[in-house]
Amino acid sequence: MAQLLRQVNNIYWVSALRGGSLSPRVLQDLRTNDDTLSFFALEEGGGNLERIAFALAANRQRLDKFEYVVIDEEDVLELEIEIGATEGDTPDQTVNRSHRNLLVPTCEKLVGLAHLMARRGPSKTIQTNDIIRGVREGIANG
Amino acid sequence: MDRIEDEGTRGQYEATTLDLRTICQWLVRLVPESNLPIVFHVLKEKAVIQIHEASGDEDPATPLELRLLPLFHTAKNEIFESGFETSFDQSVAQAITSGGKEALEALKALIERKQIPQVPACKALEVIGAMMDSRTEAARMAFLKELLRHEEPLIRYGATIGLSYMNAREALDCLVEAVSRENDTWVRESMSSLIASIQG
Repeated sequence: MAQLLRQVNNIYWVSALRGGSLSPRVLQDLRTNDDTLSFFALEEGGGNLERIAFALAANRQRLDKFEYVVIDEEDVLELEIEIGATEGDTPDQTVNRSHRNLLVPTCEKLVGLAHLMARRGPSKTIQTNDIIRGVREGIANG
Repeated sequence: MDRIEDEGTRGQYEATTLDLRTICQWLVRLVPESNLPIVFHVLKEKAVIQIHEASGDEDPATPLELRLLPLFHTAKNEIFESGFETSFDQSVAQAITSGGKEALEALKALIERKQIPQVPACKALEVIGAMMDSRTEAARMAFLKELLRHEEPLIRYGATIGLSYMNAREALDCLVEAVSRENDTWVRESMSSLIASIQG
């Protein structure tokens, strides 16, 4: 089953889903760009997960923990959200090819996606030390 | 400030039942950010804040709390992203570096009384763990460990992340204990991930 990963900041997601209702604060973590949201396609078995995390972490001001949520592509399509393959902008070209834009032209679709992500939580975390190690190895391996 | 010293105006203030949060919200809208700390200080001196204190609140805000309040209320709508530093991060680190243990106690009191918005409060806990200041390190560690027991999941999460930036091995026992009683799945996952990383 195809899966999609999105980087999140738990500060907006912890205890956001209560009794089926979702706090609007999650929308702070789902800011659209030209009506799209950035995701990455996971390989079967999540083989490229760490590589995606290290590539995204390398794009930040400083190396930090990486929190993410994984959702099923099938569930996204059920929400009638289009998935487009567009090049990512990380330093890793292989990771960039797995970038996906999810088209969310309406608030309803955005909220639907937010609910889907919250239900698929809790997020997973790659701790800062592991990110530092991974990025260092990535740089050493070119 | 002249208006506040005017007896008639003070009477108007006294006639209302403003709480500290309302006063802060007004000031944050009306006063430039750089002037807020001194405005709060003057208000305290000129007794406007005493209206709040005299209104039956058992825990009046201390001057240090009053200095921290505007910082958190102005950060209410700030967007926080992992791996990116904001001016709020710098201000929190400065406040803790200069105020030491007293500043941590003031922040704890504000969190306990729910006088500051939770998202910036959570972010502040991350900053407190990540900041480099050996002089306050022991106090910061103790502060974060204590907040692992806080009633609000977001505060427990912030304390967990704060500890992840410190010598987390020292906090391992507290984290193991905290995860065993944690009932929020998102916080529990964060704690478990940190414990696994420490145990490596």
